[in-house]
Amino acid sequence: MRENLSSILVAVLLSYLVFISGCNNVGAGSNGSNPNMNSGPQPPAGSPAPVQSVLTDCGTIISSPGTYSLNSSLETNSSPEACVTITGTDNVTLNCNGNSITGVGEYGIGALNVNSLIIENCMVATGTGDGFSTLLGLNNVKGATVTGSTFGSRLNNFGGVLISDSTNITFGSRLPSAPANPSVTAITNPVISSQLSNAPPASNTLYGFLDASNNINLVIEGTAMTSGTRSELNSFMIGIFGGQNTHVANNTVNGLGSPIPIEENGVYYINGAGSDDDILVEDETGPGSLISGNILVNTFDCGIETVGFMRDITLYSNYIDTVAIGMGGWYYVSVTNAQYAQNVMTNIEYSGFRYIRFGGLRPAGGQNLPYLSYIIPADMPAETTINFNQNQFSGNTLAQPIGFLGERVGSVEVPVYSSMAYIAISTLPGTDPTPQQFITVNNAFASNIFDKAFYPLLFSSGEDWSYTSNDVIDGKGNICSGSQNYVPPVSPTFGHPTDAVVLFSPIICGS
Amino acid sequence: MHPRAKKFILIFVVVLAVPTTVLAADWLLGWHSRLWQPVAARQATQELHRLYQLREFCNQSNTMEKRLDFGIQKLRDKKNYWNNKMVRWESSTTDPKNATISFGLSENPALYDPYSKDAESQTDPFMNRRNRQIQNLRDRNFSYLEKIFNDVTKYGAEDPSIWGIVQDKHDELTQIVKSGEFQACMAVLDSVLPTQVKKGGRQ
Repeated sequence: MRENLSSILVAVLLSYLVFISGCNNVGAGSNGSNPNMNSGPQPPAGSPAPVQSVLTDCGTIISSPGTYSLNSSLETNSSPEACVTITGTDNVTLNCNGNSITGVGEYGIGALNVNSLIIENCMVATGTGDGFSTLLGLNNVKGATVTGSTFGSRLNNFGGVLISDSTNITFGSRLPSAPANPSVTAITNPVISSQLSNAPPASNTLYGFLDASNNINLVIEGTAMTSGTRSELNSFMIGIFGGQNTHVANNTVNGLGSPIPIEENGVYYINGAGSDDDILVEDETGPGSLISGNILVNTFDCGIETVGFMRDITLYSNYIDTVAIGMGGWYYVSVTNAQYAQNVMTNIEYSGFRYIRFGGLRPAGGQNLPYLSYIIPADMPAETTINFNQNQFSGNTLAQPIGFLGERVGSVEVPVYSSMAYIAISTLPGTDPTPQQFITVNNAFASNIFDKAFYPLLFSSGEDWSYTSNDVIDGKGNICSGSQNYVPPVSPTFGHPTDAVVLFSPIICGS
Repeated sequence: MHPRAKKFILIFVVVLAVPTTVLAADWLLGWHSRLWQPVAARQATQELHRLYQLREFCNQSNTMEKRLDFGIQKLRDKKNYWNNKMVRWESSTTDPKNATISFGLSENPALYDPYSKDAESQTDPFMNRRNRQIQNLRDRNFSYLEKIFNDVTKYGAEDPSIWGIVQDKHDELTQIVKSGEFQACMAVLDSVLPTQVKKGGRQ
């Protein structure tokens, strides 16, 4: 009798404890079940301790705090949903332990409406190779770090990483310098071989693109990036759109493109291989925005291109090699308080710095505009001035121009004296600015070393004058081939009067 | 009763009482919502999660479309530059009234029409591929929308109050998602999804 009683009591007790422990192991899986996980050690009953689970199959939806890991690789089918979805929760760590997520599904890891997220040690290469796969998608995530992971494959053009509407995201980790990237070597880019020696290992590796829209405090650091494949068109490697206080630091980026066109039956064209730009910046505002320490190579257009406005930003100590234009912009471009310092640009085909303006004053937000790659906020006011204002160029180096077809390569083309060479284009909505609406003062040049093989600095272009005596400031110590420009004899002059012009050298070029 | 039986019962009561007390306190102090929420939340928001997912699909589709359009436009620009370019860098050393900027845009702005068709252009294959891939995204989004509606029809809505609003917009959503108006798709979903988790980042 006593033995029977003991057995019953022990059985009831064990059942009860199993029930209690089960209360804390919920929140993942789908349809009320948890088919894709093996539960690990359970926390004490009664406390809201995080889940610890091992993911065993694709289709998992994580909706509870906890640590989730992979002990084996996962394969997606053609489902539109991510292999691993994290949604509507906070404090989640996903550690793939070096395991891979592959398969034909076009979505690797997705995080949606999440606070505090860590993703580490994942190898994600999903999709069919059409370039449309979201290898990692973060939307409305507040606080996340992604490290130790590889996205995409050097063999296929799978797609890229998409980060939008998020705050305090760090893709990568702090490194002392740009990391090693197997696709950038002393053979592919011999001029920068010294920068490649002793390069630290990358924090993340990405084959494809990184598209970041409408984020605050996004950090992209320590990533080795290579375009999907050489034969595919890739608009940009890193795109930061509508961002605030974005940092892009110490990345090694290879667009797999070439600034030299191919010629066929007398027609030149870029054959669509590789990337347009290594970094594309659109509508970025600081304070504190930073693009520094990056190695940016091999595109058919720019190392760093700006579309729209760029305010309160530092572009510092970047190495740019084998591109058409080192840093530049023209579509709706407007730049204020940008510090261009200690950048080194080599194998430039067209110009080191080129900022001119295509497109009239932008209309108020809420409508799509060509070349602007994000959803412009509806409450963005209409543009009232076009700026190239309070910018500083110091300690930059231009060397070894390409000189394709015997053309001389430009050093600086920033026509602040003449309305930024403004051109209205029928397909770019906007209203024509008056010359007085160009704010182009206090642009300082100091201690730059521009090889004399490059063309003299250009500050006028023949468009309407927006000339004031302090558009260009000579900070001294510049080495360059010249800076003679035609300007009106009287300052300020706006519009296009018929007065005679005079030659003027705003920058004294030393040797 | 035998002392050993008493001891068994005492142990049983104590072991049973501890977690029961914790659970009771949890319930009374309101922790129950934290403890039990994941199951309840998951069941109550399954179609809600899918609607957020659909919004994100539209967001990603919009991104992909803009990426392709940017790349194709820039290819056109480059080709036009290379085949229409004038003498470079002459503008500063000639009378600016006669100067020209090097891209030659003002000479023929029509060249920059992103919708123009150029039979010889190498961008056409990219354009064809772009159209095909955008159609794939439309199809993906539409089939996902239909799956959401079919599953609710089959299994019932887990949040009828929100689902009622969504159902009222079924026709509108179907039309928009089919048409590939990705931003409109996001706007419609924003009008029905709870606002507090709709959008982070820069407002």
